[in-house]
Amino acid sequence: MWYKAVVQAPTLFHRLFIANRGEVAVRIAKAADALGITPVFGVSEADRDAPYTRGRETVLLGKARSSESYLRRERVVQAAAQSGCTALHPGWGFLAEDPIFARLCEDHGVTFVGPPAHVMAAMGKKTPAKRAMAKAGLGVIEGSEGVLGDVDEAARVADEVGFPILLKAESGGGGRGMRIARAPDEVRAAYAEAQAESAACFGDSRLYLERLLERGRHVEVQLLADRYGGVVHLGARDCSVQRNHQKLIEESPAPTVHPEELARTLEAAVRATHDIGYVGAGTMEFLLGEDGRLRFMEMNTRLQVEHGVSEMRMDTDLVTAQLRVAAGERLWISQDELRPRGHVIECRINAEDPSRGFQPTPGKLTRFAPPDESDDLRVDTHAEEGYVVGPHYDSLLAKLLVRGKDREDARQKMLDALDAFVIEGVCTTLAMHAAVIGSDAFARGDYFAGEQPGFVSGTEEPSS
Amino acid sequence: MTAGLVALAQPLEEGAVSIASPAVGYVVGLPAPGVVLVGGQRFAEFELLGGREPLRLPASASGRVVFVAGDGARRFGAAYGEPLLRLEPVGDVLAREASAAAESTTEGALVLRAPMTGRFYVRPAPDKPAFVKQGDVLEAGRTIGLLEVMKTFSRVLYEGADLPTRARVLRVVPADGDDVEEGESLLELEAVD
Repeated sequence: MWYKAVVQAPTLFHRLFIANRGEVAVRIAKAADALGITPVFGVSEADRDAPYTRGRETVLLGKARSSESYLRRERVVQAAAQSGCTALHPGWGFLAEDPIFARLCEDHGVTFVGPPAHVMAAMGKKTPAKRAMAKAGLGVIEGSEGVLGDVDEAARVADEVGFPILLKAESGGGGRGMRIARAPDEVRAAYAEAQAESAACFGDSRLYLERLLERGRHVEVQLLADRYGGVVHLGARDCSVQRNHQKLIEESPAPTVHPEELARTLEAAVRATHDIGYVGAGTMEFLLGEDGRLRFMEMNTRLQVEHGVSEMRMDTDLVTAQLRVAAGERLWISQDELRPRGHVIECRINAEDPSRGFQPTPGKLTRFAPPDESDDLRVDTHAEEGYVVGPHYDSLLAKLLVRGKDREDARQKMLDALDAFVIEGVCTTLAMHAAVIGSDAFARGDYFAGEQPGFVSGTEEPSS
Repeated sequence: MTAGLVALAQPLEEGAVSIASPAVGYVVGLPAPGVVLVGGQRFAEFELLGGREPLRLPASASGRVVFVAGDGARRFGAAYGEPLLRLEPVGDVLAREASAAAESTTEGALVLRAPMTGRFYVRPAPDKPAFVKQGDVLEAGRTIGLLEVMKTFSRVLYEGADLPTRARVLRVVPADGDDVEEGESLLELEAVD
């Protein structure tokens, strides 16, 4: 070689813009503080006096309604640039998976903490993502090869894969633009309805088809990649306890996956992450079928709410890792150095009334006393006594994480922690969690994705 | 139709009004203290991701500038709702609008005439550029001057059913502060395609 490469650690950012609110904003600021980076919070009018912004730099973005503040791409990027930030962390939700936003950041000299915009765009469309995963050797759910041409093709593919089938929006998400057909004579109506809803919700009426796996478990793999093709996984999480497609309890390791199937999937997931040119923290979601096979559903190109489960089990800080790889650092850990320790369970404490279909319950927290943190107990929250849960944003109040020697030990520790957690003033999911965690069905692992084992509620909406 | 962003106005005590930033961005070229502004007037520029737009007052806000944000900087970053100016009422300054009548002269040129008798100002403040100057191409809605009638200021607009949509200014007839009679020529214009 005619020149000698100068190797030095890349300079980290000095100022980081936090384009989010609540619990994740607090989490990102904590990571920034740990690295000596000054965080600047973009806030809406509803959050300008939130406890977590006390003594912090803030830029007021706009009105409380998120379409006037947290979702205004140009305003957020301008706020980052004019407050002297050279990097931006999008958190989760809001603009975290918007490739146009990621591109806008890069165009204006602000490093987007996340994957490149084109990778995000490819993973946001369902069939390119599925195709890339199948190529890397991951199992995928049987279904159409790409988007469907018309309803006749849908009927033909449905016959091939077997009923029931699910028609899904190519550009969809959040359970919209989806219809189930349980018999050949239902395909036509389901196709028309799914197409109409997809066009209305996502401006894209294209559909694809998958066999519907009803009695499965939600299992996901946490990945971390640098800019140079280095990829590690942080194991799998099981997130089957859900309500209305939203996760309530997550745990790691995933208790019902066969070790061989898991090892094969983890290896393929790492390969796929490398092959698509992914950078940063990402998660691949799988459905564990009754046949014991893991099938790829989608990739979330951002930090997940439940990232703490993997952090605690692997003793790794994913948010500082995101910032370091965004700054250009090479991965500093190898797969062998990542040693899991114990079993971790997380409960999401939401301001909701589980007995009334998980309806949100805004209000003031007259008491908020989480249990004491330790090496085996972690509480992630932005709330405190006197905090007002507003009507504008989601209902997440806190995440309670415990680690045990094994699943049973973790379960007992979680029961104690839930018992010690006191929240008054609003209705919460604390009691529901105690019922689920304490149930025989949860202890045995005898439940399917979308259920709340051991929790009985009279007026709950039937799950879809 | 006036392009640009409209600032936020927050009424204060005794008729004063606080003018605030309507978005996040750089505010460029705020007016100096003492300048009289009228509703709808462009008073600065707003820079968002490198692009600049005129920043206007809301139609309801007018008065004399008594506070200017930015510590004298020509360009500074403002957050949403950040105060930019404080306006205090001046006499009975009102943002009343008067449309001037136009008619053709024998020479074929257009003449814009004063809608009422009063004192005509060609600029918003002594140290500010004129609203219009010779050679400008006017479009409907453009302010061409202020008319003070019994201490009440009105904006004179280029607006009217029988005006061409675009016209070039050939001559501004009165000097700044001249008294004009109703019907007297203010501007001589020619239509532009």
